Amino acid sequence: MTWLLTRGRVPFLCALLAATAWLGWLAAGVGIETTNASLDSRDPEKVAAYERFKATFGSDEDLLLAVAHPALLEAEGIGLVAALSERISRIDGVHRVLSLANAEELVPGELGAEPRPVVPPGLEGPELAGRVREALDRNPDLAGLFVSADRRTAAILIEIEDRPGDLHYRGALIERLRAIADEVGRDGVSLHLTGIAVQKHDVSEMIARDTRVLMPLAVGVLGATLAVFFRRLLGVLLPLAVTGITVAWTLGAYRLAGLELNAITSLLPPVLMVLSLAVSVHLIQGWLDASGPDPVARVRRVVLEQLFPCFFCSLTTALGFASLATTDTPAVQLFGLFAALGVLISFAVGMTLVPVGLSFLPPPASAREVPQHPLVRRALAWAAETAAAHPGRVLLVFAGITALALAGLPRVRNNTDLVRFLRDDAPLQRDTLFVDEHLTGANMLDFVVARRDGAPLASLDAVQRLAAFERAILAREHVVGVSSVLAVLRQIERAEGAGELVLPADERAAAWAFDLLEAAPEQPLVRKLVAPDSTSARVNVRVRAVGTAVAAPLAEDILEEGRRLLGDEYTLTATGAFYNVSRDSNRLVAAQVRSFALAVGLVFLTIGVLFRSARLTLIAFVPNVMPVAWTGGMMGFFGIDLSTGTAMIASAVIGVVVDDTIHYLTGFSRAYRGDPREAVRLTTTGTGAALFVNNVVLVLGFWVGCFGSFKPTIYFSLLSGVTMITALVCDLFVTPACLVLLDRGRRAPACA
Amino acid sequence: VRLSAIAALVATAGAATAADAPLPARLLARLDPGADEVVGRSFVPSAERRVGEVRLVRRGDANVAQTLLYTKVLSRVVGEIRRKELANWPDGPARADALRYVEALESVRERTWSEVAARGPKGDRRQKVWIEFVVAPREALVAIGSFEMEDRDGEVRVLSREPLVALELSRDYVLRNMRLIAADSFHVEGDALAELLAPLEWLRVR
Repeated sequence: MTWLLTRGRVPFLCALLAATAWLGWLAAGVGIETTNASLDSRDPEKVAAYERFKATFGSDEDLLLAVAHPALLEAEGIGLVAALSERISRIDGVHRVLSLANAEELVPGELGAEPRPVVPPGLEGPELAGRVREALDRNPDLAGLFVSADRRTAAILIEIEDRPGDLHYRGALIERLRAIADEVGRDGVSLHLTGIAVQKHDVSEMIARDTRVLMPLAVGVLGATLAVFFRRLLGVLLPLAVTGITVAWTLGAYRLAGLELNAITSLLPPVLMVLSLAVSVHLIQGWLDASGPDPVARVRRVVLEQLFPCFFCSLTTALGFASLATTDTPAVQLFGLFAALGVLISFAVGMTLVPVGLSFLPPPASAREVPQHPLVRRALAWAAETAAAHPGRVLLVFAGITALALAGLPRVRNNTDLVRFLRDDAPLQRDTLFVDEHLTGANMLDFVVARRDGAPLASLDAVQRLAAFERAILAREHVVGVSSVLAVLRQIERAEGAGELVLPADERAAAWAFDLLEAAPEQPLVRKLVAPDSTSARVNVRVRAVGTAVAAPLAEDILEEGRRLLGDEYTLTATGAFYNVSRDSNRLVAAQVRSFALAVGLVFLTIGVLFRSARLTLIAFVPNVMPVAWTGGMMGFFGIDLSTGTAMIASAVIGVVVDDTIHYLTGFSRAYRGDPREAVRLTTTGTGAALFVNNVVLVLGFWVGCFGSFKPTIYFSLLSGVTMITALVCDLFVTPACLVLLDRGRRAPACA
Repeated sequence: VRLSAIAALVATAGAATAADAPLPARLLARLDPGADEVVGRSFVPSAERRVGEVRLVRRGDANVAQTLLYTKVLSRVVGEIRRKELANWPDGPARADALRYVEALESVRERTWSEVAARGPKGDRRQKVWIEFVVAPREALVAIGSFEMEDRDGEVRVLSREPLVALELSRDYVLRNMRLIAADSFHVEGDALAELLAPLEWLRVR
């Protein structure tokens, strides 16, 4: 240590600078994930089913452009849809455009069923509108896909080309479509773009925006808070240097691992900036409070004093975050692991850079008095007196609040809403909800039906069972429509002679209808509904814009009923991007309980090692688990859903808030002289003041995340801050109350 | 119209008889593919949604336009062939040849359909029919039969074939039809068609 603070200072700073320059350069180039893939859990069964689905039926990431027109079925409206379809089909990256303008129905022809455009070419005026209305009435399945029930909004379905390795064409296509929407949308006409590809694009854009906005904002907030607290330049510059190096090294390592930022890990920079302040703040505070003219000896003494508490605080914080690695969602795992890495980096950098920096400065002539607001002073004194004088009542009140919070816990809904997880003014949310309200369901569940023996579905039994399954789905709440091969079979039957939309009536007709499907000219369209060898069929269910709290049980109910209707000879699998999110959401609670249990176990094991006392470990447990329960109850009462972001709060925060308890118990052990009440008064008014300031920094830093673009991360930031406040309250009331009540005149607690 | 209908009935009856009667050895010899040299091949109607393929073949001193159909919708394909035949031969002496051809084809289709139906719902539902337009120094004929095949990575190999019908028709009808089949299947005309047919002595455009 002495070498580092004397001759080793310059080489150390040079090495630190070089490492930071390299890792900082790497960090500056961290990419942004464009696929949202890391938000999907790595459930092998789910992944395999989705891959099989995409290999058989193609991508489920088509775009949907809704065109609202006051006279949609008149020549003007249909002309607009036709012109837009034609224009969009020429944009780079578009594979195919389907709309009312180019939709076809099957009609009787010379050789049997043959396709004919729904909109007759060459017609104009009232005759056109009449013919289109008739065609839509004649083809309810087509009408459901391409036109709203009130016939004022049309859908243009846009299939995107698959270009592996090209990261830019989708973004360019979406920007182009939005430019067209802006250009065309006037005089009562409006265009609304939605789809999974749009969501992925917009999320990437928002991550980039958050990275640009949140980092400077965090620097500003933390700098201002440090300036207010320390009122000197070194108190601002040294902690900010530690946070800067921590962020650079952590993100540099992130890139070295070949990773890209996602909606969750985009929070890493501001969170790390906050978490990495603690060591610097404690060291600088200790240095200011210390005495002695020898700069090296003074710094050395402070470092030795703070080394163990800061190490254990960093360790517990890191363990809390690292416990997130037990979840199934890669984005959350990465966030936990790299936040933990960042905390350990900040400990190492803080414990070296801050002492070296301080060693260059002349020590203050006298110990600095911490400026304290009279209100804070009075509040701390009241807290100390209340906990010391009435520990039983304090515990009773806090237990009552906890019981109330526990009553709110069952109200917490496990819900991930891909549409509403964006801010209300986000274009994607606006457009998607418009489509949902005016045209069709914004979400899609996909089911794949196959025979267990692998034989084709070209049989009367299969058709009849599929029809029963389809009817059962359509009867369910939140279901807007179903698309399946049955719609095409009905058209074939009508055109082959039945005269109306009915399903094949016998074995031969069923087999023939599938034969015709196999030879249909529009194979890419047929392949979206049935496998090339007819061994599996897709049942696409359009669902209202509901969250996974509704969608997950809906999907499970459909699966259960479907399996009953289809019987043992058939298999039924649910899949698709939306189903996968629903399934992941179902696993969140289990993942959260697992992660939180691990965090609590590791954190309190560490505290046990630190204090070597079961009694103190138990005391530390109570005031830290209480605020987590309170936050859970608050989420229940305020209707905040458990989602990818909010599920991280408990595990992440437990490691942070326990630091206050460690500092409080350390302060108590130093102040204890046989009278627990007196020790509580001294600790709460002394250490409590430092904890208050530290919490202000942490809470304000976490709340910077509230300016992000995603509601889960906004709630994570907001509720983490709230939990830190309530944890401090618990530390100032419950911890001392427990210490007083459990004191049996034993020796003072040992502390490392 | 009445004459055409009568001719069609006669042709159907004739074709049915022809399908059941043994083929003359002289014609069977013209149908032996042992020395076939394929000079051109094209999937029909396209590679993406093929129902079969057309091969242009040199077989000794004969030229052959061979169509291999392997499809579950043979009735549609036969209907399409009938439509084209009747359009190509609206009147004249060759119309009777066209009618004999399409009715013979229809009778073979029905026969292969009954074989497919006997296989049950889990069997191979493809109907496999070959059609050959053959022109040789002294013969011009159309033969139709069934075959078995193997399909490896899109490459069809005929394993066995059974001739069911052989019709000796007018040379003009057979030659013109072979050229029409080549143009339609290979989607070529003019010089490109002439280039395609150049290796085939009887078909080349002089």
